[in-house]
Amino acid sequence: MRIEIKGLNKVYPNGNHAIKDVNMTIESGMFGLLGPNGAGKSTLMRILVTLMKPSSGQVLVNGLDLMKDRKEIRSMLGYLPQDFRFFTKLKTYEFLDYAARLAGLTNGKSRREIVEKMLEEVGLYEARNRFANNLSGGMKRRLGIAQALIGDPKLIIVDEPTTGLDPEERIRFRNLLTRVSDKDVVIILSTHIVGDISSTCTDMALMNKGILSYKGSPEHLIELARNNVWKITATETEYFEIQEKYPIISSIPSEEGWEVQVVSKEINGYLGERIEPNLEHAYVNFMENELNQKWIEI
Amino acid sequence: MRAIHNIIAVAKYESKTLFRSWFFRIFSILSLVFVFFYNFITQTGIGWPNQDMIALPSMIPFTNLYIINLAQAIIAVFLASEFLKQDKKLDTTEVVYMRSITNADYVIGKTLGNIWVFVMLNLIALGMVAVFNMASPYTRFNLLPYIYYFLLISLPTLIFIMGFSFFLMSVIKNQAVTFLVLLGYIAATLFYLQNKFHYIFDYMAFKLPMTWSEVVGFSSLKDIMIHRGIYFFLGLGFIGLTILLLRRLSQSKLVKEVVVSFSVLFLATGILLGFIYIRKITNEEGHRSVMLEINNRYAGMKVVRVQSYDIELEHLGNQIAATTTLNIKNAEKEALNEFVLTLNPGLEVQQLSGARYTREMQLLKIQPEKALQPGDSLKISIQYKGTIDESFCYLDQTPLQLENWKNSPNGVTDKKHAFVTPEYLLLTPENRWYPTAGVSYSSKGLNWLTSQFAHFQLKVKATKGFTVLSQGKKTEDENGTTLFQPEQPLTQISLAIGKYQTRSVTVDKVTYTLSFFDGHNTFDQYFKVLTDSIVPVIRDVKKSWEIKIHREYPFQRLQLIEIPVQFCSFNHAWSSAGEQVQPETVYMAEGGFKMSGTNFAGVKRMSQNQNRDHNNNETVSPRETEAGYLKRFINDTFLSSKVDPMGAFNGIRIGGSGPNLNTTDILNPYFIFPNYYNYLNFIASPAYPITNRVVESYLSKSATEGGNMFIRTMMGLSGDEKGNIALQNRSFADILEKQADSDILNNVIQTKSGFLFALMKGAVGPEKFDEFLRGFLDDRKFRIIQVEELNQEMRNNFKLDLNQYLPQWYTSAMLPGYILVDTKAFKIQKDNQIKTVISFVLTNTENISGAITVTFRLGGFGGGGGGMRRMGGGGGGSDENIEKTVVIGAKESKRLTFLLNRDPRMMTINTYASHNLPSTISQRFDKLEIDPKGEGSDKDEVIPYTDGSETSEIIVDNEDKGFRIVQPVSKSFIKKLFTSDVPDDELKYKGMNLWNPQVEWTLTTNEQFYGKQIRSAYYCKGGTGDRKAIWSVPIKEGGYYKLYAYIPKIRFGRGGDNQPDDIYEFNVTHDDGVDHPVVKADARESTWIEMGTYHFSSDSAKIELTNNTKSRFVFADAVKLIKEK
Repeated sequence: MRIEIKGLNKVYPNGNHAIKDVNMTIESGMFGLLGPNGAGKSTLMRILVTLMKPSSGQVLVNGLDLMKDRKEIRSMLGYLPQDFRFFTKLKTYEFLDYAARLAGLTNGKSRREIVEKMLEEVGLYEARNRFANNLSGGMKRRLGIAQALIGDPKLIIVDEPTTGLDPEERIRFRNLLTRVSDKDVVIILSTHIVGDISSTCTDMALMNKGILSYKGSPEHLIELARNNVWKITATETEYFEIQEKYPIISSIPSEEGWEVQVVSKEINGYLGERIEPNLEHAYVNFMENELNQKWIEI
Repeated sequence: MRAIHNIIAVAKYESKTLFRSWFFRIFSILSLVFVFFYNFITQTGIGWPNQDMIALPSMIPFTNLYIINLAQAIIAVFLASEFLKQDKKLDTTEVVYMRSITNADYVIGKTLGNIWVFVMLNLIALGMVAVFNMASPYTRFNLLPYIYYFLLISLPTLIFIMGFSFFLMSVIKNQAVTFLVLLGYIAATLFYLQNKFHYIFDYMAFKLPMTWSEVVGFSSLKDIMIHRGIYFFLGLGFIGLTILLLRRLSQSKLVKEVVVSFSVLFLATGILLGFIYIRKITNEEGHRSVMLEINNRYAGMKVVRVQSYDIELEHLGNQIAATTTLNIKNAEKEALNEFVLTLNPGLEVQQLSGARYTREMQLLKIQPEKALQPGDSLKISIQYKGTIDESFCYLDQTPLQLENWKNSPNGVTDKKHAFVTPEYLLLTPENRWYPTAGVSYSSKGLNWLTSQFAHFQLKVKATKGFTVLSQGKKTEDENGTTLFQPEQPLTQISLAIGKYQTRSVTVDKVTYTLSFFDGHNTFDQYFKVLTDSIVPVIRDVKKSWEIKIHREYPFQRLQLIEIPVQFCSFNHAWSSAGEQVQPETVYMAEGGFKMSGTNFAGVKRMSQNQNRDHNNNETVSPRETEAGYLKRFINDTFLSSKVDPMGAFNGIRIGGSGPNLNTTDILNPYFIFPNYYNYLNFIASPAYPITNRVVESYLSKSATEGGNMFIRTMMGLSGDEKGNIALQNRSFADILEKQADSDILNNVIQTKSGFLFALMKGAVGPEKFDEFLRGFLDDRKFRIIQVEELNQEMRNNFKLDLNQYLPQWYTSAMLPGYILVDTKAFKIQKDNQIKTVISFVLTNTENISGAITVTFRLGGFGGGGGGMRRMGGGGGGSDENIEKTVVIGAKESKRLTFLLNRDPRMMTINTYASHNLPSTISQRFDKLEIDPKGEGSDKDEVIPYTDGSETSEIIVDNEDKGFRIVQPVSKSFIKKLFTSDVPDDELKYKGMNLWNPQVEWTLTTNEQFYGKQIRSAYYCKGGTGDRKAIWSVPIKEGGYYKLYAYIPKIRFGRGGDNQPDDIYEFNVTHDDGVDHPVVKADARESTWIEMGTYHFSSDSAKIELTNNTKSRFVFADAVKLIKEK
């Protein structure tokens, strides 16, 4: 399974150039799409799930043109949108059955079996007769992923899937996706939660202001940050100075004052040591040092 | 296949979602509860039986679907506009939109899902209705109308309104605005567009005539299918457009192209059907115009006299084939080279022997081989075949009259004038199913008007198993041919063929038959014991009626024949006889539909309630009860000239009469009077062709005096008054030529007829004149009477010449006007008896003679009108009335004195055609005292001219120049937009609705108001002082004046004086300032109430009345000033 994006642009009617000349190829497996708010991630997602037309460019999904072969591409799609709500008057089972029908599962008996199996997989079997609106936040997300996965789609796009979930739910979610990614499917995970990508994705892209800034493995991005990540032991006064000078990843109070992790090529005058970078460090390093962008702490 | 699967998937879950929405659930429950109780009340023995539903079982599903359809159309709009609104906002829809489903599948699925839920609701409701129907003790159950109405009313409405709503939402993209636009559209179709362009805007089939007969089904199924098809296809087209406008990337170019094609096709089909529908109507209108123009061209041609008809007819399913042989005579004074016969244009002439002919639509121009000399006869035989072109019928009905008819209660039933179907045949003279002499109608005067008495013989061949009914003695031969031979010459003949059951009884040489359709005998349950004693009941009613009208039934049989419900006739100006009443025959609507006399269930319930309410200990035997039902049926159906307008509001359709409308006299189409006059006598007058109609009007009016005064009080102008108003400044001849409103025309004829005969009766003496007229007509039955023959007899008997009355009566626009003053009523002792003297001064203020009739009602209340009719009573009347006719010259005053043997309860003066409004003046008499010195005798004496006014009095009435009203402009823009044009708004005087008085000052008339000739006043609802009436009284000489206000006392309700005290607040501007007298009306009568003494010295005094009162209504009538000495 492969997705090829060539020269993709999207300009909204209000003049906003949301995607600027994006070119990339996505192979089977988990693919992470990272970037700040307004980077163009959702726009790219909506184009890929055929909800929106690009202004120019081409997208090929396994050789099928997104503009011409929409029917075939849709039949292999699964999608969990960012702000996902429910048909308030449908029960959990009914909603999933509806999705299954639209996914092409025409045979009633086999569809019933598949729906029940999916409910078990996402841990919603016990809640199958509950109205979808009465599920907890995590259960709603599980239902969302269930409807995205039903019918064995080959291209699964999940947009900010773990927002608002507790750690246990988040881990469950990642594991579920990872299991699916073992098959010949492309799972595009669009998020601004770095941990989701670091734990699941083998490939990733970083978007910023509509431009594809980075495409490669998470490891390589981390490598770019090597020697640029510091742990500084700072006094109270130094802490305030450091805040002004460097992007702070974390700050933990200690006996001496503060233990601060920063990203920078150097930390002149401060007591600190280089530490092993992770993806979060790498992301900040990339934004600050490679793109010369001021990283805004969320 | 995948498409069907997708559609079903979307539909299934859409319907689940809709079904589970609280809004829909509440609506459904409310609808079902309403339907339940509505049927519980109307169809079970516990509630009140609905006459329409009893008469015509198809009205049950129709009425219920009507209610449901109206409600669900609005709900469907709301829910449909949710479509796309939901789809726009929630990302949930995105997980559907990215699926491999075409836009068409999605929209169709959504639509079907919505429609399915409403369909289920309809079916559940109809199921409930069917259960009630099947269990109903009143009527029978028929499944077919349930299916038809569901398919023809509900489905196209739902598809259209949903498609249209979806489409609008797709374009407007705002639910609130879409909802408002749609509600506005619904309101416009309901209240304004209604039946415009023959119901083409009526997408809910709200007013579309769709009555279903158990005999012929829908009378115009093709028209109904076209109409419903318009909306069905437009709905589909809008759904197609919604698919194309859906904001989702389509995935199939082919499907998109198919959708485009089908959308265009459906919309085009809908529009095309609309054009076909309109074109049919405009073609028909054009067709009628052409036929009328042809008639006008030949109206002046001399008319032959047909002495006999020999008709042989075969019923061939949707056609008839006939041969008619006419024996024609030239009764003119000159030879005829050509004459015309009229034959329905739908009947194609195949052969005509005995003369040459050419055909021009409805006319056959006959050219005898040689000129037909005066007195000569000619026999021609015409063979023809075809069906009835109904557009030919009633050419006198203008498009405006037809529009008005559509708004009437009968307008929703349909407009069939003939039936030629395999299941049923009905042909009446209006159809011209056999050739008749002359033209059927011309709009250029009345000179074409004629009637002829001919001998008829009719032979009919019909399908086996069908009953053939017509006039005359009936015999059947072994070949299945039925022969009819009327014993007397008739003016016309009609024919009905259907599956009838017939029952008959002979009473005093007249055979009464009742022919009804198979299974239509639900009336049997109300006549279980009477069957063996029906003869005395019929005899008794007939005798009472014939004593009243002083005529005897001239035929040997009377047939009551049930006909399909859609049959409709219009009244012609030149005769009150409708097509429902033929010689020896009355055609009654199916099941007694809209005939209050056939509501046996209602009558039975009413009498049970009355017995219960009054704890009636009297035992009424079942026989007497059933005799009462029968008497009521006969009286209400056949012996009343007009339909009770309260009964006309039986249906549930919105629209029609409102509080501002004057009552329209609805002529009773089953009034049997034509069998006592129209089919016996005809008075021909070349100079005054309306003469026969005038005589007919006089004779029939005297048969049914009275009228529902209760309704007149509520609804304003009576028929006579409307006639009177029309005659102000217009001559009779002018009105006959130009008046398009048949209601006003009828009233004018009635008024002028009363006036003419009052003049003659005044000259001769009422009893003498009536006796003469009756004898004259009785001696000349079944032939044409020339008016000169009548005139000669009048000269011989009374030295009276019609020609001294007729010219002025016909051509003058002048009218008399009367003032009545100085009424005295007292008792005297005379000849050892107590007698009553009533005396008054009558003045004719105009330059033309007049005549009035004074009627003294002796005895109790009720009689011919005034409230609900009691059982067993009705057209015969139970009061004793004494009638006196008085002639009065131009500008003349008379003191009239009447000596009566009993106390009169009331005196009514009918002024006929005059300047007086109301045209009748009534006065009640309470307990009269004996005047020991009084004396009196019948006297009619001319006295010095007086109009009764005191020179010391200054009176300003609301009709005078010094009066005006002040009120805010109240009609809202919306109200203006949606108020349909109401013809009665053209009348100056409006109806008075005392239950729901008008907010604005409204000019109305009533006998209780002040006025010398026009007794009118303004009235409005009691309010907060935002409305005023102002009198400016001219003061010639300054000084102290006693001020009075005339406060009318209007009785309403049968309880009499049960209205609250009327309090009036005035503002009087006088020399010393402004006073605010508060006046309380007199409890007993209308009179002048004193308001105090004031000094006025300016040229006018200003008196104001405001509507600031807690009383229900306020009347602004007149004020009077009397100078103090």
